[in-house]
Amino acid sequence: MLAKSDLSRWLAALAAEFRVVGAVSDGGAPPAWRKLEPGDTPVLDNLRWVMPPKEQVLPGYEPLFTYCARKGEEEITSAVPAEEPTLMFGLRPCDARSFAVLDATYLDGRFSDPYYAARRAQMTTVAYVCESKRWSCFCSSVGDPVEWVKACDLAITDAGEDAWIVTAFTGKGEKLLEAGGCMSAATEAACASRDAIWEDLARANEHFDAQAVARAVDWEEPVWAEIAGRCTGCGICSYLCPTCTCFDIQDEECPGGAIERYRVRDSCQFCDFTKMGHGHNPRPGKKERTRQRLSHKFKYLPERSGMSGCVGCGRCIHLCPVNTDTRKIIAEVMGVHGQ
Amino acid sequence: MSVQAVLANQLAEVRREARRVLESGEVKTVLGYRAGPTAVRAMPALITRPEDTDLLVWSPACANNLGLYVRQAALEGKVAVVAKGCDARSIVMLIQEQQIPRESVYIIGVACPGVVDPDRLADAGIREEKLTGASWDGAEIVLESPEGEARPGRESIAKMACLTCDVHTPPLYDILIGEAPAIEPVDGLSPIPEGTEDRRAFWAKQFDRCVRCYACRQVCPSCYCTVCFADRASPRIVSKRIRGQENWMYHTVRAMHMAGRCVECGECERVCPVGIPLLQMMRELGAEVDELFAFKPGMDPEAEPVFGVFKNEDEGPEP
Repeated sequence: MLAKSDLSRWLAALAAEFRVVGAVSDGGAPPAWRKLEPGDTPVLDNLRWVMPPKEQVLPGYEPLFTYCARKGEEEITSAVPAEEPTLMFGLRPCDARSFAVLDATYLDGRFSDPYYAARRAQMTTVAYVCESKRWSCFCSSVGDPVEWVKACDLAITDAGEDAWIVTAFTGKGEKLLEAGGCMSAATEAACASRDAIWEDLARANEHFDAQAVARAVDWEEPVWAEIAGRCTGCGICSYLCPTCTCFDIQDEECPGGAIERYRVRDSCQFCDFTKMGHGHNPRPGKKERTRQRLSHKFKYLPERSGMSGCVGCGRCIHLCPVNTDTRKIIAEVMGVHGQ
Repeated sequence: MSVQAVLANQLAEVRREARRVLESGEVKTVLGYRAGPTAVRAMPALITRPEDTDLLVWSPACANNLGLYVRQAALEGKVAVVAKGCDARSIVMLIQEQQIPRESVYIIGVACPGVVDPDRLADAGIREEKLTGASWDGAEIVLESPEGEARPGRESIAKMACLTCDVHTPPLYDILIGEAPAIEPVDGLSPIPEGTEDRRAFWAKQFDRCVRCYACRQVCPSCYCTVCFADRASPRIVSKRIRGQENWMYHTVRAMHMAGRCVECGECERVCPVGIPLLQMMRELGAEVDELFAFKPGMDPEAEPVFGVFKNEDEGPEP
C-alpha cells in the first residue's frame, strides 16, 4: 500500500533508475505524456481525458536519418534513438493495452521497426486502474481490461481517501515496490476495495462482442454513408487514437544542405492518404475512408493478429467534432441498432 | 410556459418547416441537427426524406456550424439549413464569395442565445452523461437531469465563441424561429498577452502542442480550398514536420487566409483536441479588418468581400 502523501517520494526514488513518464497538464492544456520533473504531479484521476501515450513510442514527427554529400563524400547519419529505461506511470488499462496493439504492427516478428523497438525495449509499465468510467469509455466491450492491467508490471488501485493499493505482476514490478521504502502492508479493506474496482472494471459497460463485430463488418452497410455525410475528414479520431499507427515519409533539406528523411503521423481520414502518384485514389470519398478506419480496428487487425485493434478508450467519441459515436456505428453494423 | 415548452415549440416549428420544404420539393436536402451521444452533444444531420425530419433536434447542444456542408449539399439541389447566427453568417460569407447563389439555400433561421461546450461542463464539475436535456431561459443555459434543473452560469459552460458573439439572430433568413434576448458580449476573455515578445512566447507554447490533425481547417466553412496549401506536395509550401515552428507556419498562413472571412463561430477552437485558443487569434484579426476597412464578413449578402475585390482607386504600391 502507498500513502497518497508518499507519491512524490516514491516517484523520486523511481526517477533514480528510470526516465519516469506520466501525463501532466501544462497550463490548462489536456494532460500529455512527458518526463516527470521534480514537483510534477501526474494526472491519475479520471475526470479529464489525456493525450494517448503513443507519442512516447511513435512521436508525431521523427527524423529517420540525414544524408549529406559534399565533395564526393557521402554520409548517412542514422537517427535511431538510444534505448533508455523508461517507466510509464499511470497508464489507464486501455492505454496500457495500446502498446500491445502497436507491437502487433511495429514488432510483428517478421519486421521490427528499429525506432519503435528502441523506445519500447526498456519500457516498464505501471497501470492506474479506473475507479470510474467516463461516458465515452467502452474498454470492456472490446476485451478484458483486468487482463490488460495484469499484463503490466505494476498496477495502482484506489483504496480510499489516503492510500493506493499497489499490486505487482512481474519481477520488475516487485522491484518497483521496494524503491524508496514507501510501501506498507496492504490492509484487508484495501484489498477488498481493489477487488471491487477490478470487478466493476470488467463488467461496467459492455456494448458489443468484438469477435462478433469482426464477422459482421459489411462494406455495403448504409451506416457508412451516413457517417460520411457529416464526417469533416479531420485527423482527430486517428491522431488521438492510442492504437493508430500510420505515418508519412518526407525528405527535406535542412539548413547547411543536409537532407533529412523523417516520418510524421498520417491519417487514413485525409483525402490524399491513398492518392497514387498517377492520380487514382482507391478510397476516393469519406465513405470509403471512415469504413476503412473502423474495419481496420474491428476486422482486419483481429483477423491478422487475433486482437482487437480498438482498446475502447473512447477518445474518438469524446473528441469527434461531429459527435459520431463509434459504439453506435458498431451496433448498427451488427444490426442491433436500438438495443 | 416552461422554458422546456418554449424550446419544444421552436423545435416543432423547425421540424414543420423542414418537412414542408422537403415535401413540397422546394429543397433536396435539409441540414439540421439530430440527437448525439449525450444531451449536450448533437450531430449534424443531412436529411432528404420528409419522414426523417422528426429526427431533428434544436437545443444548446447544437454547436456545429452547418455552413460547412452547404457548398457540397447545394451541388445536389436547393438546400434548407437550420441556421444559428454564426451558421447564417457562414452562408452569407459563401454568398459574398460567390460559392453559392442566394437562391440555392433556404435559411430556417433560429435565434440562438449560445450553445454548450461539453468540455467546459467537465471543467465545471458537471458530468454530461447525467444530463437529460438542455434549454434556454433568456440568455441562461438550463441543464436538466433527473435531480432537476441547474443553471451553472452561461459564462462557465457556454462555447467561448458564444460569449463574445453579438449576432444571436441570423443576419439573413427565409423564416426566423424564436427570438434572441438582448445579450451583451463578454469582454476581457482573451488569454493573449500584450507585447510582442510575450505574444510570441504565448503562441510558441500553443503551437508546440498542435498535433496537425487539421480539425480547425476541416470544420471551418471558410476553409473551402480544393487543395489546402498545407497539403500541397509540389510545391511544398509548409513543412509536414509536426513541430512547433512548422505548426506555427501552418496556423499563421491559415489565419492570414481568414482575414475578412472568418465569421468567428469558434468551431476551430471548440474542436481543437489540444485546446489552442484559435478563435482569439481570429478575433484579433477580425478587429483589425473591421478597423481598417469597416467590414464584418457574413453580414450582408450584397456586400463585396473586402479582399475579394479590386478597385481602380485602391491605393497600391508605386509601380
